[in-house]
Amino acid sequence: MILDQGRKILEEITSSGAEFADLRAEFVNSNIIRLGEGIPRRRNEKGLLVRGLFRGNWGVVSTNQLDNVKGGEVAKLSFGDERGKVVRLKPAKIELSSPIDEGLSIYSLLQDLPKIKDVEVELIEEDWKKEYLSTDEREIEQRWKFFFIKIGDGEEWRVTGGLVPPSPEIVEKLVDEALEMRTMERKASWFNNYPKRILLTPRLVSKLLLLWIKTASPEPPDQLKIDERVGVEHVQVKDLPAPLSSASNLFVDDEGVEGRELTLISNGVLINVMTDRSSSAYYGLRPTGNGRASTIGGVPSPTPRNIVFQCEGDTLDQIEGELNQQDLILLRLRNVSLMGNQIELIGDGKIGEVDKVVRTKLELNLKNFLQNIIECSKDLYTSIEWIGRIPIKVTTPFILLR
Amino acid sequence: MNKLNDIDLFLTKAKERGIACTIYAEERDTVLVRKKAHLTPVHQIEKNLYVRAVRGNRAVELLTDELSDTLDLLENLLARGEPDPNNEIISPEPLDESYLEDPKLNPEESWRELVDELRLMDPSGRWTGEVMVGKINRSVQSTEGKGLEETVTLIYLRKIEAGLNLQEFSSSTRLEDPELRRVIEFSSESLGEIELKGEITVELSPKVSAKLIEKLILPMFFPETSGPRGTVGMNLRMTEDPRMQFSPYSRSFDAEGLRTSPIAIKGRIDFLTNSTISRRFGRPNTRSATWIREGRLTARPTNLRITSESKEEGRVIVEEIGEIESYDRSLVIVPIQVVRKRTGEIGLTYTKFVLDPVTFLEQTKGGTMKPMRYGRVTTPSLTLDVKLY
Repeated sequence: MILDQGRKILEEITSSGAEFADLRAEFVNSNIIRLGEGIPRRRNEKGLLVRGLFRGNWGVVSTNQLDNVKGGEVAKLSFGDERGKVVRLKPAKIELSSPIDEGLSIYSLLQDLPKIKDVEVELIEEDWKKEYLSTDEREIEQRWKFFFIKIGDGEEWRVTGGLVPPSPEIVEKLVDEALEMRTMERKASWFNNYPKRILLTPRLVSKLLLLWIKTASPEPPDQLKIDERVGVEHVQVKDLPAPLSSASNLFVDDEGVEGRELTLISNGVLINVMTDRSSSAYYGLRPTGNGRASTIGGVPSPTPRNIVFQCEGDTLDQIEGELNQQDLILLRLRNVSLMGNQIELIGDGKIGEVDKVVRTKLELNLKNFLQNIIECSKDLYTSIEWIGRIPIKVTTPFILLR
Repeated sequence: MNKLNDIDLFLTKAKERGIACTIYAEERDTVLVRKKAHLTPVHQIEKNLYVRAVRGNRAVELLTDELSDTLDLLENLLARGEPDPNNEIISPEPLDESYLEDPKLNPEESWRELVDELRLMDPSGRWTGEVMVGKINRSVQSTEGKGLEETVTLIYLRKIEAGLNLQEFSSSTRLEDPELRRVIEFSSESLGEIELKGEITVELSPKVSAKLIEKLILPMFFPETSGPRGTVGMNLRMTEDPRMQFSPYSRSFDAEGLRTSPIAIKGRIDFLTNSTISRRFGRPNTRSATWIREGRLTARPTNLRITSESKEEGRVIVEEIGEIESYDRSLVIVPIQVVRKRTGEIGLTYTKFVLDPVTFLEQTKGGTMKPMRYGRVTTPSLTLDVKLY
């Protein structure tokens, strides 16, 4: 829909002297219900990002007023002496769409839901459409629809989602888990000893892993430690193109780059970093398809898509069976703060086999976090984490840390 | 004019269908220049229309940027709402005065000058930061009365010394505001190391005090907050002031079109309200209606102004803190990063104190440094007794 108008804008930018230009249009319609509030909400949002690179300097316009963008305006913004570069790609025309059942709606779920008390529940359906066009003749159209359920237990929201609305049974299960967590929190007493080993749940591993990944692409690039050992021998971390069922954008990123399977860590050694088109030129690397914007119509930056973390291991029952009273099972993080390479965690958990809930403060070295793994569970679990408006699918095992 | 005509037409048609409606419109036209590895200027042009519609005690809320085809959508959503007698659309009040626009500001020239003044193009790469310059036009139109609008100038500066964890920031509606000079002239000093421990009286600089108040005290004014609400102690005076001329967070009217005025906060902090929340809880309407980004009409503070008669000196001045950590529902950890001794010596330190926000509000005293505005908080330095870890 926007592409014809977009071609004209790119022509204007090119005739103003740009060596590269691209644009991305996004349309997101959302229905939102917060249970018990009785006020249906709707968001009809759109955003257009237009960029031009002029003698190494970027000019960028971000707007939701699609009819008002003039190419000359982008040229007027370019400023400075930046020597910025961007990786050019071969021409491509791609159309992608997840199977969309227009009849599916969060409203259809409402009548079957039981009365829910003591936790906040929000149901969201989002209908996304993205279009991308660039002067290197890449033309992409993508469309998908996704359903989220957010459960708030007073302090944090937990989110899960899929291509169809969650069933009443899943909603009930998530509500029960949130209530259990709240009961646990009320019972918690402070544990002031330093545990010998900590068993982290997949949700906590996801949070720490995303923090670790954020620190793994330094600027300037001469600090990049490719081929450095960052984890124990059997750690493998991959970032995969997001599948249709993953709530993220599909196989192409927000800069028209097809995603490829990217192995970040192989046998404990860092072998790749995620890049967008600009940082690829900066590092001298091939773009990885990780240029994602955290807001509608926002500027993209390197961001994970679909992380899978694996290391060989035992069953969870076997690992738990080996724990003793000096070990901690950390179930919930209350706070994560990062100071340099040091992470301080405050969380609630259980001591070994004893059914006693404790709150504790731990310090971990983020840089060495993956090197302190003693064991991982064989089974993997998936959760959705967020960076701004971007959902990131993260699949990890339980891990036992030294 | 086009925009108002569109909205007028929409409201007329809504009224014909028996729908009462308020539309809060916000148009932003700003240039944001961010310097990290690269300097990137982004022209942001955004128009958002926040619609609240009520019919037969049922309410719906909508965020959009255009009104075409919206009436049928509202009808559909209204059928799904649940009746609540507190839902109503109120009449806006006429605008009394508007003083938040700097008519002399030319955003196109100003952002380039400010990037230069902050030395963001310095080839040494010593400075990073952000410049934002532009205007925000706010308006309220309603089926229940005459609309009103105002324009707010926005200038935001942040300057960061690359490599050190030191930064200065400010926002204003006027270029001549001295609070902006504070950022432009910011230059770090060479830092030694200062060791601190034990029980000590610290004086928190206005910047550090504002950070703590924004994080710990401001949420006590939100209707949704379930945590503890503190009591303002004898040593402080606190005002929620929507009418501060230099603050871009000020506003002459709230999101329902009601005229704002300063509210003195005495004793226990109560949550702020809009028309629906005030009816629901049987409280006065504090005229604090605010749309939050997720598309929900609630109530929020604008500017919190702290004053104090006392001028208590601390043994050291805390100049910079790290990220405040939630320790528990009622406690936070404050990591201290930079302190200045009374002798003038300044240095890095690696220590922390635990703070209970309720106790902080009751027991803290005014310090010796004059009030400064950081974001939504204007405060002098504040002095309190802490135990360092």
